[in-house]
Amino acid sequence: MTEQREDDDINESLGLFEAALHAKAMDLPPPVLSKLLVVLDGSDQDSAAMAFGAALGDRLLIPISTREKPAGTCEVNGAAQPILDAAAKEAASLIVLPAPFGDDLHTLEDKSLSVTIDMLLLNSPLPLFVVRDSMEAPAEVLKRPLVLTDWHPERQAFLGSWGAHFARGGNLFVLAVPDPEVLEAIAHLAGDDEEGVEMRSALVDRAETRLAGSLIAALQRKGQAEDFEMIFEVKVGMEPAAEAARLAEAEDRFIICAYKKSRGSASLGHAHATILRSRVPVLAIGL
Amino acid sequence: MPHTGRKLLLGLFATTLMWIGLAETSWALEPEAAASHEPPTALLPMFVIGGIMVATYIAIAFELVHKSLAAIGGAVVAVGAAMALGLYPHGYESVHLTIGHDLGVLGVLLGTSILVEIAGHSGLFHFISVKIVKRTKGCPKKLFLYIGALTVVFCTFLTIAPGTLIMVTLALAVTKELKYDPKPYVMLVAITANSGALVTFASGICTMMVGSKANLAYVDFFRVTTPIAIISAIIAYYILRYLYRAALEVKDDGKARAELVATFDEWALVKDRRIFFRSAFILILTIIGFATAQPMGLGLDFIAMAGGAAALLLSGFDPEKAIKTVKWPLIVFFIGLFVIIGAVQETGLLAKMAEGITVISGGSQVITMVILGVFVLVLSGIVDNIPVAATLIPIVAAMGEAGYDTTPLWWTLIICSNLGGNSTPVGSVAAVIALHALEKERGIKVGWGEFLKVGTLVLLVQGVVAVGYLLLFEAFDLFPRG
Repeated sequence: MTEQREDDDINESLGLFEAALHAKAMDLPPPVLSKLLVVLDGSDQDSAAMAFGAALGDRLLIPISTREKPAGTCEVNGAAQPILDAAAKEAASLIVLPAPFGDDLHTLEDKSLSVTIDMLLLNSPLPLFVVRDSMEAPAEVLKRPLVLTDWHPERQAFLGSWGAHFARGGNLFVLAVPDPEVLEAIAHLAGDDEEGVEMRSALVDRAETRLAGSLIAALQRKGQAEDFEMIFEVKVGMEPAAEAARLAEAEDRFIICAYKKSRGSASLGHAHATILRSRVPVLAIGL
Repeated sequence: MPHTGRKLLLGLFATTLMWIGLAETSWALEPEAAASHEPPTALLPMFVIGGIMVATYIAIAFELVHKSLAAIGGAVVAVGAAMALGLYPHGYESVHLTIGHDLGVLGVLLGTSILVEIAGHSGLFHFISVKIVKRTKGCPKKLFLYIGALTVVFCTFLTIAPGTLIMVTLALAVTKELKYDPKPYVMLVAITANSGALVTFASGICTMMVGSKANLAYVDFFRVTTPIAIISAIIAYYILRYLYRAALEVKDDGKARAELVATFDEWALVKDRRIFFRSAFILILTIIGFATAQPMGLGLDFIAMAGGAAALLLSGFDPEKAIKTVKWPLIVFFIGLFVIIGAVQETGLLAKMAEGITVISGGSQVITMVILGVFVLVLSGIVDNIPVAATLIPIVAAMGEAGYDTTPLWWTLIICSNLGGNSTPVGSVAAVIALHALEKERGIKVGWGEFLKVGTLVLLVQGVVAVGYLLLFEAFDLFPRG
């Protein structure tokens, strides 16, 4: 065994034990959902949004309300507030909408989500379930969430609750991606030479495993109680949105991510990039 | 031990080996031997190829270059020299035949490496260890006992390096949390791991090498090595417990520690339950496979490869990653070593060494066992026990050809080469990993002096008991012979 590999293995194993030894009891209460609002925009993504809306209603056992915006009848830029007003009026707790909003997918492709979605990400008090491509079995996709999380315990617990709620009887994948600022701090500590670069990955993996220990334990226990499998993976050195999209598309999952609702926040950027890059639906929850 | 001391001991080893062999040499060229494909007994090839082997061992022992590079470099030089000296009866094809004879060991190593990598990373063994640590309620003496016992069990199933790695990191993490001195626990892991490597055929590298070459049945290990593995671990446990008694004293009522330990959550380290359960299932099936392979006419390498393939297929683990983590340097090291030893064998030196041992022992089986046992116990602490075992395997085989009953000698070689590593901090892979982790994580360095004090005492008692145990087996004809 080379010394570097030995050190990596020591770090990995210690990270696991530290996770177990530092785990705190984490409560994962199911999110309270009363009704969902499906917003259509007349684009060719409407059918996919409707299919997922119906599947969500069945999965979450909540009623659906639909609001249609006939194509070309109003300015797309001004659509965000009417959607929020409708959601408030309907007492909805989740909004389902297609992306890019107001245009067919083929016209905008990955260039934009539309101003409407940008505005909703920043201002919506409700989670957004953003649909792009249609998928064969939406009901099955909804049993297979991919949770994209970071190092913050509060966000982890919040995302864990959502992930577990959807995964009942299915399979939950938790992808942990370190914050860029934490990576920078580790890079600073480890140094920029070849050894330092090699060391970073092991250090981040160890820290991530330790920090996620409480979430992993809570989800494994919940998984046993509510009959779902949970897979946890740390990815270092990957662009979070691209990696989440790649994994989710490969396994027909949908993505759940949380973000801070403030302009310029890194997590908002990740949420935006995830929706933009992903062909599978993304549930983006602003905090 | 300072390097000069190790050099002296190594020099002594090399000289002893050469002397034993050469003292029995006819000191005359026998060209007809080469013509009849019998090992020649000419002095020059013995000196040249034997010298290459000794130089390679020195390079390995003193880490002059990476051990895999030393072995493969030595192999290239040895093959070149053997070709130039006309030693190979089948020309260059003899090199392939040499490697071919050792494919069984390489196959077992490759298959178990993959399986163990997946099982080790599944969290299964981490899970078990945290669950068991919780039962200690933080009591240092109980923790010490459980860590020793778990080390033996994990090294049995995972082989020595991964088993040690898990246990030493457990010891470091738990003692940090409970604010205990980690040294006694780490030393216990370093020393009892070598007992774990003895338990079954697939528990240790030396065990696999000797077991494959001698064609020993997997189930026979339970009869011969498992009891002495447990006895030697108990010896190590009590000696270390006595030597570190002050550090293991309970200084409070233990209530706070018990509460802290109760919060440990073993589920926090199970990243994927599927891999977790499937790894356990495949590991159990592989062990059953090992135990039943020989009666079914299958090689243990087949079972190991089947276990590795099943683990890759069913665990959901990334095959690319798992295959990358195979101990390739060790496999390269083995290939080099086998080629060098094959070349040395062609010179007739190893056969002469076997004759030398026969002369020294006066043909007595008991004296031969004692000489071999003591020699291997001492030497395995100084030099990596793999080259020691690899060199002695053809010597024991040659003794068998000379009419010796080799069964007791094979078991002697297995038991003593594994326990011999306990005496020095470089004698076994377990000590190297454990002491490195202790220094890296906690900044505590265990020097040669301290390790020798503990290790030599343990080895002395274990060695006497092991040799006595082997002689009892011989006296009462308890060795399985199939």
